Amino acid sequence: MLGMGSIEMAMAYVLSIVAALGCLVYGLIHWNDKGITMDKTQKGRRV
Amino acid sequence: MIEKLVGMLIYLGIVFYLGYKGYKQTSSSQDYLLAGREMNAFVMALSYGATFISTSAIIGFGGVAALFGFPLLWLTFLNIFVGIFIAMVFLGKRTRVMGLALDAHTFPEFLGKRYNSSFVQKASALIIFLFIPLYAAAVLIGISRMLEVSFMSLGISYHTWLVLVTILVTLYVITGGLKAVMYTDAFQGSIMALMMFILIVYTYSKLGGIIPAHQALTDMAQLVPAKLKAGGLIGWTQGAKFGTPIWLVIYTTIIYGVGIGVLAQPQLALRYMTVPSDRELNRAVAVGGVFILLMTGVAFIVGALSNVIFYKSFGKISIAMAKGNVDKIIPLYIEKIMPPWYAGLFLVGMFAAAMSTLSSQYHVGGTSLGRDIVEGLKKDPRTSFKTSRIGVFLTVAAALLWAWILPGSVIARATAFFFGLCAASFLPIYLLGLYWKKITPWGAKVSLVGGFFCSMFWLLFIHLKEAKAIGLCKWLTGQVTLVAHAPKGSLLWLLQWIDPNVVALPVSFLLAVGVSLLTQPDLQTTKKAFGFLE
Repeated sequence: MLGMGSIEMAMAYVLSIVAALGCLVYGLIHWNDKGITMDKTQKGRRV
Repeated sequence: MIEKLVGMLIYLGIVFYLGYKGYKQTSSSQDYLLAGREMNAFVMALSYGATFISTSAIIGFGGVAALFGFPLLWLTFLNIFVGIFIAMVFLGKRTRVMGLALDAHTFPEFLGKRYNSSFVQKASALIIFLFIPLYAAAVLIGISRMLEVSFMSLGISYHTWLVLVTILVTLYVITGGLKAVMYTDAFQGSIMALMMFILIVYTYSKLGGIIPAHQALTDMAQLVPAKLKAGGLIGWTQGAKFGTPIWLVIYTTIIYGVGIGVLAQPQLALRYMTVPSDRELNRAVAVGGVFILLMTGVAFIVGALSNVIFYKSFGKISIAMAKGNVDKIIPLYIEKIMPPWYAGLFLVGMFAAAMSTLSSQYHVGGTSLGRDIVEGLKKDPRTSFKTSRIGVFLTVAAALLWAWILPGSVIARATAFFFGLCAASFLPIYLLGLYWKKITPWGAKVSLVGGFFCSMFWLLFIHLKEAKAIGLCKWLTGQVTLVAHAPKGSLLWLLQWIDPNVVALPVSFLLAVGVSLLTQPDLQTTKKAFGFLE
C-alpha cells in the first residue's frame, strides 16, 4: 500500500495526513465559535 | 555566501522590527507575561507551532528518520492529533477559561492557584527554571554549529556564534516580552512552512512521485546495516520487530515519550492563556495541524527517503554518507542534493526554528524564576515585570553556560529528556486539575514530587543512554544500569531501552488519584477554578 513495506507504515502515513485534514475541518467548522468569554465585569458567559 | 548573508540580514531586520513592535505594545506585566490575552489566531497558531518545532525536530529527529525510517511518522500523527487537536480542544480551551478564573499568568502560577498551593507553584517553577536551560542549550548548540559551518569563510568561531545568537534572542525577549516572542514566532513559522513545502515537493519529484519514492525505499531493505538489523529493524518502510531494542527506542522514547510529553510543556500551555476566546484556539487547530504536518511530517519523510537519493547519487545510504553522525544527515542532504539557492533559505529557516524555540524557552524560564519563585502567590504586579526580566537574563546565562560546556551531540536527547520530565511531573496534575474536581492539593503535591523523582531515578539508574552518559549508577553500584546484569533478551534486560515515561507517567497518575481519594479536597479553590466552566 502506497509503496510501503507494511500496512502499519502506510497507516502512519495516511493517518498523519488525515489528522492534519481533520484539524483543518474542525477549525473551519468552529471558525467563529467563541465559547466562554469574559466581559468587562470578569464574569464568564457563553457566546 | 553573499546570498546567505543578505538573506540573514533581511531576516534579522524583520525579526527586530517585530520585536520592536512587541516592545512598543508592552506596558504591563499582563502584556509581558501573557501578551495582554489578546493574540489573534494566526499568530497564536504559528507561535505555538514554531515553539513546538525547533532545529531538534527537523535536524535531530529528521536524521533519526533516516536511520529508522517511516515508523517515525507515528510521531507526526501524535504531534498533530495529541499535540494540536487534543491539546488545544481538550486542554487549551479549559486552560484559558480556568486561567482567567484563577487570574494565572504563568504555567506554574496556574498549577499553584488551581491547588491553592505555593509549594506546587514554586516546585513546578523550580523544575522548569533548572531544566529548561539545558533544553535551550541544546537548541543553541545546534544553531551555532550550523552557523559555524555555513559561514566558515568569515572565520567566526563556534563560541562567538553562541554569544551572538544569545544576544540577538535575549534583546527582544527581555525588552518585548511575550508579544515580541509571539510576533517573531509567527514570522519565523511562515518561513519554516515555506522551506519545508519546497523540500517535500523537490524530494518527491526527484524520485518520480510519492509511490515510486516509497517503493524504491522498500526495495532497499537488504541495505539496512547489520547492527540495525541485529537490533530489530526490518527495513525503512517495514518497521521494527515487536519487542526488540530498536522497537522499544522508536515506540517508547521517540513516539510515546515525545508524542505525549508535548501536552505538559509549560511554554506551549502558556499560549492557551494568551487568546481572548475559543475562536482563536479553533482557528489555531486548523492552522496548527497543517503546520505540524509540514514540519515533522516532511522532515521524517525526507529523512527516510534521503537513503534512496544518497544511494542513487553516491552509492551509500544516509548514515554512511554522514559517517555515523545522525545529526549531519539533513544538513548533508541540503548541501549535496538540494539546489544552492535552497541552502540559504534552509539556513534562515533553521535560524528561525531555533530562535523561535529559544525565545520561548528564555521567556518561560525567566518568568518561572521571577514571577513564581521570587514572588510566589502573593505578588505585586509592578515588581513582576522587573523580576521576570531578571529571570530571563539568568535563564539566558544558564543556557549559555550549559551550551559552552556540553558536547554537540545532545540535541535530541536533551529534548526528549525535558519533554519526559515535564510529562511525569506536570501532566497528571494539569490534566486532572482541568477535569477532576476531586483531586486534592495533597494529591497534586505527591504526584508532582513522585513523578519527578520516578523519572529521574529511571534516567539515572535504568535507562541505558542517560545512565551510561551520566555515570552515577556505575559510580555507586559498579554497573552501568541496575538491570545490566540480567540475561540478554530478558524482560528485565530490555527495561534499559524503555523510556522513563512509560513507568513515571502512570506512577504519577496513580499517586495523584490514590492520594486524592484519601485526602480532603479544597472545595473553595475548586469552586473558583471551575467557576466559569459550569
